[in-house]
Amino acid sequence: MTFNIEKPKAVSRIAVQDDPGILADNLKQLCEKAERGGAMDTIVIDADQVVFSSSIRERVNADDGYPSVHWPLLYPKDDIVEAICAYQYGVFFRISPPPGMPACGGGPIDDIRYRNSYVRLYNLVTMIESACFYNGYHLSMGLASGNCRSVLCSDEKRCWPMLKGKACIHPNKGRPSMEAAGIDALAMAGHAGWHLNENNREALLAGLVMVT
Amino acid sequence: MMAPSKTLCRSKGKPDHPAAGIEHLRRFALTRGADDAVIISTEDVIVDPRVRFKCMIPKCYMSGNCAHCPPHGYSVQEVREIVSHYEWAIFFRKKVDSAIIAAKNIHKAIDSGIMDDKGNAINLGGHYILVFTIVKLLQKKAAEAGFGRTHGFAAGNCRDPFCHLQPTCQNLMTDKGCRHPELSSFSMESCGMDVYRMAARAGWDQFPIGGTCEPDSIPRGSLMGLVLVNP
Amino acid sequence: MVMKGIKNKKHDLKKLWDNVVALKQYNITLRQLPYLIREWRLWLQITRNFAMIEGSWLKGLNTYLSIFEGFPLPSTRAKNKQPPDKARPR
Repeated sequence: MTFNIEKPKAVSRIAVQDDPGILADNLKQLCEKAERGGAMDTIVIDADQVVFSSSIRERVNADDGYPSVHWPLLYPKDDIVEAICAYQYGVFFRISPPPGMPACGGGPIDDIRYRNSYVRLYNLVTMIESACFYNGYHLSMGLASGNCRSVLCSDEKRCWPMLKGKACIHPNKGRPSMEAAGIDALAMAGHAGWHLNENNREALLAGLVMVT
Repeated sequence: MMAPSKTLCRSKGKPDHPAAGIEHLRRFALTRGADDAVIISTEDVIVDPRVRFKCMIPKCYMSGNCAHCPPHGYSVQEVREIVSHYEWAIFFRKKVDSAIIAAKNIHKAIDSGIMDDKGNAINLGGHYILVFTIVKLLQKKAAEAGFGRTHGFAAGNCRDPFCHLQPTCQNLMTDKGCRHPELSSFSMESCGMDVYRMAARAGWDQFPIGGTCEPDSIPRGSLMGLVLVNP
Repeated sequence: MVMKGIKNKKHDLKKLWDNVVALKQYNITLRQLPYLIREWRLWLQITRNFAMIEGSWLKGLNTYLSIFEGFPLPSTRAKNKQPPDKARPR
């Protein structure tokens, strides 16, 4: 499975401190890039606008029938909430799901159309994260949606990095979702003013790239 | 090659002049292959929780596969604790030609472990080996000079350069410990140190180098190492 | 004693053969030598550093060679199946 990550046109030097003016321009360009990449809605957010919810984290922990290293998030020595709170700005976006696509949770995604939508999202998150990295925001981090095992390893019997000493077979592609990190994407979409399906049963294919 | 002048980052509350022995160690690093070396206060060592996540999100090919790589290794809190026991550090770098570090398809060679025909991956591995050896030599020299305990951090994972042809990391998978304890160590980034920002503060040109970089995208790459010492 | 010597020699030869196969599989061959020679200063510095770490040139060279010890890749295409590893987890 290949992701379309373009070669950087220019690589920015790492600065001692981020220039606010350049940062504002870069954030705007990232939103435009996301839109060109297929995002339906994009918005720049402050780190304060990231909504954490313990109930979502608990729901993900309980939905462990199809586990992976990123669903639920299994990094005992590292606190993702602490990491996300260390950022100042992020880019939050969503892509349109196929009509009638339900929220897939953490289980296998049998319908190839739905899985392809998730692949599009993962591709877009990787593309934006890569652009941030080459712009000099070397600590940028992207979160997608759903269980990366369902999206990238649907043909595998297990999530290989869950076994001690085994590596991920899709390095630099597999990533956790916002919900696995305990982030309430629906609430954030509501705050952003995005039109959501009234019964909230349709999937919200949202991505979040924390920039700096 | 000796640097014309040292750069010293001063921080509040620290004496301005570290012991002459540390300056000797800094110069020693330059004789052992480092291109630049500075003495910094440990207050200038930036420990950031986001750095370890860069190894895990998205998952690097070595993440979880080496005892010195995230999610294994020290937590950020443990690293802060370690750093707090020291006053000074020698921070050095080894420059890498962009034709090597950003060579076409080098990321495929690195991910798969199968070397490219042009020797770029092997030469890049050599640069990493050099950084590990400089760290170990600095620690050895510091011990000979009576500095007591030191703590060294290199660059990249230790499994690729030293256990490339082995099926597993022995330290991770067994109770036997590391195959090469005299050479291996944690890297700065695996311990949550923001190496790029520290390099920028030391006045070194640092560029983010990823898998899609090409040689003409960047002037050069750098690999950094750090040894914590107490005078 | 003689049989033990022969067995040890066979074991050493098997180990050497495994190393050669592994080097070939990972594409570490003499073909890259011209490119490595371009970075001769780097490799010389590494050799000097190894010698200094170990305390002698011979021990340094020994350490240098030990990092090229290994096992061949498994014969199947399955990436996560490993060859028999003597260092089994307890």
